Amino acid sequence: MKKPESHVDHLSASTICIDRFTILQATSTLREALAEMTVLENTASLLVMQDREILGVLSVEAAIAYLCAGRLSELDAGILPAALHQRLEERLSDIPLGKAVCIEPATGLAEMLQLAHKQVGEWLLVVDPQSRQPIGQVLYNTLFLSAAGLALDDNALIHP
Amino acid sequence: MILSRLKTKVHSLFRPVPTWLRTDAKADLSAALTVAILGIPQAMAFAAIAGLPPVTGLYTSIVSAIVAALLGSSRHLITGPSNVTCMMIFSITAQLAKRYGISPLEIALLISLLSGFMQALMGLLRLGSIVKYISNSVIMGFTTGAGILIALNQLDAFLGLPASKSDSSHVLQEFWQNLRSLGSINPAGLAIAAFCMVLVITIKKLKPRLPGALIALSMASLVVLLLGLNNEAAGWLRIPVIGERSHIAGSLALWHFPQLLLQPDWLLYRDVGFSAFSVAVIGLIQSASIAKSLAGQSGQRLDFNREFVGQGVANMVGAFFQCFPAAGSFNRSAVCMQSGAKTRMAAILAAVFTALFLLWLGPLTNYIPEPAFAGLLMATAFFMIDRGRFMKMWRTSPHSRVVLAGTLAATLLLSMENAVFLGVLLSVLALLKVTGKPYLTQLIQRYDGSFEEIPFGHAADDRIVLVNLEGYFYFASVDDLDYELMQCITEETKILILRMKRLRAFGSSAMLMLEHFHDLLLKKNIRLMVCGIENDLRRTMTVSGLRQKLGEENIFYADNRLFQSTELALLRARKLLDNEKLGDHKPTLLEKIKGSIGNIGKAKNVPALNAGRLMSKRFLRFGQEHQIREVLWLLGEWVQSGKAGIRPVIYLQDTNGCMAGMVSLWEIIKDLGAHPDFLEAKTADARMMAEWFRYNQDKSIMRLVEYEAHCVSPESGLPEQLAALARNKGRSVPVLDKNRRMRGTVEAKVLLAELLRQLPDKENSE
Repeated sequence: MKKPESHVDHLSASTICIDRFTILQATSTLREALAEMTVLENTASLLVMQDREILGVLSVEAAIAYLCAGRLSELDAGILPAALHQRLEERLSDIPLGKAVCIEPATGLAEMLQLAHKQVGEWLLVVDPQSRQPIGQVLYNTLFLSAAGLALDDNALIHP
Repeated sequence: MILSRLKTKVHSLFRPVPTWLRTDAKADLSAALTVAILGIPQAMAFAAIAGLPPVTGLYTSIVSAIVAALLGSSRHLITGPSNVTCMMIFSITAQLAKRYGISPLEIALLISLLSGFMQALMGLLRLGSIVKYISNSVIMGFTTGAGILIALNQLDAFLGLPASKSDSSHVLQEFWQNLRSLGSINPAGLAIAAFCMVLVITIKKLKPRLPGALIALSMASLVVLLLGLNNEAAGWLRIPVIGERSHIAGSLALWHFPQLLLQPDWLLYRDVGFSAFSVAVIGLIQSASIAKSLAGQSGQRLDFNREFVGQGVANMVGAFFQCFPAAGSFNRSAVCMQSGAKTRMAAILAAVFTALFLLWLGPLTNYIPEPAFAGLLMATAFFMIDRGRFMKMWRTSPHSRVVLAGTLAATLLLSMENAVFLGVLLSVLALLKVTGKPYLTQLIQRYDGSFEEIPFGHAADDRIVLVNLEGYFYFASVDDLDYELMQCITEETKILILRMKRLRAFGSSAMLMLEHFHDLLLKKNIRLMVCGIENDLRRTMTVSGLRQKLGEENIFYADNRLFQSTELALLRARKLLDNEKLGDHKPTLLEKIKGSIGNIGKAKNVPALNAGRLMSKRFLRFGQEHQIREVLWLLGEWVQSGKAGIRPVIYLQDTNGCMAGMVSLWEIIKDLGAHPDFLEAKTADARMMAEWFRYNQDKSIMRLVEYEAHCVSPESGLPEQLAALARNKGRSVPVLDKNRRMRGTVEAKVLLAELLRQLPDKENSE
């Protein structure tokens, strides 16, 4: 079999990132963030900015975990506590956000995988090298497909 | 200690006497009397079949029955003379007695001793399961043959002809001679015999619980005595009676040391040895099948090994009391149970009644006319030849016909002791023929994902050919199979998938065939994939090196979900073909991902609160037996299909279909980079990364499974779902039914929308 040139060698953050993410300001409330999340289609994370600086990432999962934190026994009892209302009005700058792991567009697949491996549960945010402004994000799905494709690619191994 | 164990054993066999007297004695006594009345004439008749004095049949009904009841396993089995073994004994002793000039009874006693020893030995060696290797066709052919032989053998007595047994060695020759002597028929004898036969058959069919044989023999004896047909004065109508040939005294002079033990004849021993083995096996099969049939009705659990020992010791002991080889009797055993017998004491009491009969009324049996006995035996032969069952088996299959006809012919034409073994040989040959070729079909996947099975070689030409192999896969069955498989290859074929889920008995020949088949396909530039590989086959493939040769990426392992591995193999095959077709114009990963993510639907507000209504049924389930590599494939296809969501999770299920944990995308990524060099590498090209990623991918998926997922039931309300979601750190919540089978998942986003809908607006809350 002829060994074709592997496309994986040329994969970098700029080629696999997507630019569809939502930016919310740190002054926004959790209620606003959650409302935004319910209408978002293609991503489940929100990027929180403060004065053009990236403050962090808020995911649906993290938001719900925060919302329910410490209230599990009450939730089990079937009561939606009034405290939830209070939490919904908290500002994003006051609640714990996920760390945004920033990479540059030229970052290769191996490095991205290494970062993903070290940073459990975070997104890889692609930022402009000069302005440090977000230009896209790399989803784990993308990384996974790349890695899985590579692992299962016969031509990448020693085949005649 | 030994005494204590013996006491325990005896207690386990018998109930304490006071308990038995109080609860079971009445039923056992009644059943025993019925069995004795039925059995006495039968015992004498069967002794006649064996060519032995009728009184030996009674002795066998007494001694062997008691010993077998004491040591055997069944509560209802009545041991004693049986038609088939008696016919075998006649077949053996008739020839040997003439050849060696020894009394047939002495030879029968030797057979009893030897066959009993073999039976006991088989029981002690725990060979109770040996009976299952003799098919119903063999038993039916043999029993039918024995029935015909009994009928032919009794024809001269039935017709009142002069005895012809001394003039020929085979029953068919005797039959021919009887036909030539038809002019000498004794009409009185024929009438008595026919009367007995018809009466026994009629009673058995109309009133099966009545002792038909006893009634028939009593009436026949009475008629002969009243008409004086047993006297010389009757002239050519004279009918001989039993007492003339072998006088039955009213005593129990049973003890008799077998003379062949005192004066051994080794040549005779050698000739008898093989025959004794046949008698032993047939006796055991008969006893075991009857006991099994009765146990099925009574609910008793049988120990066949103990039954073997019981039968063996009964025959060994019987040899010293003038008893010929005994076996279980279906008629008497069935009557025993139907008469309400509760314990094995019924069999013992029936033997005691037979002994009492012999003592008090034994001399009366001397007046039984011989044609009446012949009529009784003709009725026995009539019932042995079960035409309905015979025809049913005959129609079953060609193989059954061969075994049935072969065994029947061997029984009639060869010696009976060899007929069974010939029948077993024919069964084995038939089995080898049936299993000598695996069953080949082709599978085609429909649009809805299900599979259609079509005859081999009848599928339309396609690039992917899916062949289903079923049956046995040993040396005989794989001969030329590789060339046969090539018949389904067309010019269009690029990949051939062998589904090997139902294959059995594979060995080195099968592996060699597959290897050769793989080479044949390679020459045609066709890829071979195998799926449905179970653990045993996986081991054999590993040891033979075939696994390495085929390449792990072309092997898909069986799962408890039907067609799971077949679907995976097809996915893989299609993927490979797509890659070939697209060549250099492959869509970029970015395009694929964007396309897939674009398909994810908007979360909708769901009015209902319980998990059953909120859950999504779009989730992936997988078995536990797979490798990481297979999950990679499935997850990859799932993600690319656009149906997987942002964070796909595969839920694993155990062999009962219950949830057994989950594998998340994150765990897969983590595992892919688990190679020791990976995290430290500054640069990595595709080749290096592929090797790293393959480092763990043939390991079991179970190493990546997370078990801590919190689940909810379909009835769970919103708060419970939220709590589970929070405990799962925001990942989706599996919804399980009461049997822990997955019904769906509640996704974080859906729950979030519902939560916001439930909470009052900001303005209202203020």
